[in-house]
Amino acid sequence: MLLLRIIAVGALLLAASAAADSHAVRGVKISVVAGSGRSGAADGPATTATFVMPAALAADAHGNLYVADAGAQRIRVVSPGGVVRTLAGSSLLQDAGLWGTPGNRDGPAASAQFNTPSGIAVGRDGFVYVADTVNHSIRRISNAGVVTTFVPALGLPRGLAFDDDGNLYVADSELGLLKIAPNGTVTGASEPSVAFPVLHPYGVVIFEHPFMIVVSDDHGIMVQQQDGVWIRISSDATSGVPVQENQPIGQPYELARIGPDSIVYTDPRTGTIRYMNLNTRNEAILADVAEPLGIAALPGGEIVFTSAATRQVERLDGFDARDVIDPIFDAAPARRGAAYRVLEIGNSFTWWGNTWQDSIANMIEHGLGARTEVVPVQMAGAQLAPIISYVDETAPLFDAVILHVDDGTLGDVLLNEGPAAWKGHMAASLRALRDSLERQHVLLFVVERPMPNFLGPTEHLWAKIQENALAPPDRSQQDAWDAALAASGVHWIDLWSAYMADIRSARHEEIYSADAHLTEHGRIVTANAIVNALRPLIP
Amino acid sequence: MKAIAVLAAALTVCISTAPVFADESVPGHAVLARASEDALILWDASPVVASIVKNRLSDADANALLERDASRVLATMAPNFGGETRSVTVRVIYSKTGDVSPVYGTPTFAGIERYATLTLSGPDVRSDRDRWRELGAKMALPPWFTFKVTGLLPPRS
Repeated sequence: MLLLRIIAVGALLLAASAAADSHAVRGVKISVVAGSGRSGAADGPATTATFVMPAALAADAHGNLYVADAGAQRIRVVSPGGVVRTLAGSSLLQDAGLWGTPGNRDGPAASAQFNTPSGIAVGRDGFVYVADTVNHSIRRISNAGVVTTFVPALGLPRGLAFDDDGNLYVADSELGLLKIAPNGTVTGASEPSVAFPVLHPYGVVIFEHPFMIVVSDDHGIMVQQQDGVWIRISSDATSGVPVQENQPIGQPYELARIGPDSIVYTDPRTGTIRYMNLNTRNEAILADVAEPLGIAALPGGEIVFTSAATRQVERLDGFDARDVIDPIFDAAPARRGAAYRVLEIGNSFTWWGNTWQDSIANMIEHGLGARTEVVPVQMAGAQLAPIISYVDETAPLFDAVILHVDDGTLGDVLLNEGPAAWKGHMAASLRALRDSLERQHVLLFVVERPMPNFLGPTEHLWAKIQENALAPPDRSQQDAWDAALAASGVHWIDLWSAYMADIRSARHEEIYSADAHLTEHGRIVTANAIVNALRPLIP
Repeated sequence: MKAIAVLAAALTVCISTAPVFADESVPGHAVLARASEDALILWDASPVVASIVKNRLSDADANALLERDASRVLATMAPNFGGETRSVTVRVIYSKTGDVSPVYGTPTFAGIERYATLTLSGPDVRSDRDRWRELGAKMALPPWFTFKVTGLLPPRS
């Protein structure tokens, strides 16, 4: 459904913008900052230096990047000039450099020892603070290169973040969210409500204006608003069930602040770097990355992150928050100067879990040619009436509208009443929309997508049905859509034919994933069908 | 409604203590949708409507606030209008929320309300284009805007 999100900060009564989930963002590029990809702890030029498991990142005001290597048991620093050196830690590397021997020793940096350091932050005093996770402590490294235990006897400290007063917030996945005063006094941070406890927090960031604490935990993201009230941002806010793979916000791990009201975060479970605006709740998958862990934003706004799989510190460029589509106006500007602008509007089946690169929108854009710009507006489960009002209002911004419809577009009420209840209504609504768009010289193109259960709960089952010459799945609902679309007079295609042709072909791969959303192959089949049908209609 | 009167009303609302016309970012997003002879600006006034609901403003005060901000939107867009412009319309819209989704735990999108339009005729566009910023700074907007309410605001009780 298209989600209109309540403003997170300030708890206003009305949503401020129509936001959807997990948008794909175009133009993002990944490059290596440091690490050869081999396992080890070699210092030197960034291209030859090695890491074992770079787990957490922090940047100072000078552009130095501090890396907590949880595998090598060392704290490393990457200079702006691209030289890596060991700041602290003296473990012996075992198994051909695949793991460092843990320890727990204060003293000069060259002889100090850590045990799985997996959080790091730079204090106002210039000291580097380390969440020494399995030593259950916060360590700090002075400017003179001496390591001391700042706070012992914690649980499993991970993410660290300072506020402007010098208080250190610790996401302790055993004890919860902790606040450590500059003198080392530990308190629980403002307690979340009983209804939405912070469960096993991993990451934390602090916003100062207005003050907000943002925490990632087993259940997604929690935000303590300016008024002290905690709210939970996740797809399962009411159920309390841990977030699952590919849910709209993924499984947030480490967080970094970007801009006045947004975060970027790693999601090692789905292998993605993601973005979220805490006000609008606009979200985006920025990139697919193997096992991303730590993340930080540099003073210039660049995003850097670590990958446990590649053993590298990497950098993400080209992200522009304007590419995270706000269903009303972020979609609008012809910023790329395309001659033909296409609004592609659909529910989660059109965008679920994909980056821009493998999105239907990108494939359509390439299929239609360089002069075309496809702007995806992704509405989770939106029903037809709100979609129509949205399309009607934004039509002046576009030359064509691709509107995806399926049973989700009907909503439960109409769906349960059966085709007789909605067929005529859908036809009339779409006809009215077509007429309205025609008056504005905008082409309406409707894409009817069969629900997975019309193909079978999975395609394997569908194949089984075919093999055993069983009756095909009930198509009555699908037929009703066909009739409604035919009666509406809009340009449209039924993806059923394209899907069936693919299923029967030798090149067939699964069209739907186990969670009933489109696979990449399914998106390719869908985009090709749309391009082939749409191309003759556009000038 | 004349803009001068509206401004007076808007000032009594006192949402903004020190309004600076066109130099302040206008709440919500605005985009020039059509720059042809009859120019069209779409302004997503959802944040303003949210503040109206939160502060429980009356319809009159709400309209005054929206008209003032719509005129600021118009002024911000002024450099886009050429000599061929016959009229400029700011369409004031906001997004509506529906029931909380049992799947996502957040309010669902319930459509867009076209609440109002603010229109200025071409001669007025051209004659005042270069003076808007100055006029705005003095809170002396041109008095010939047409602000027409076409929709409904959310309940404020």
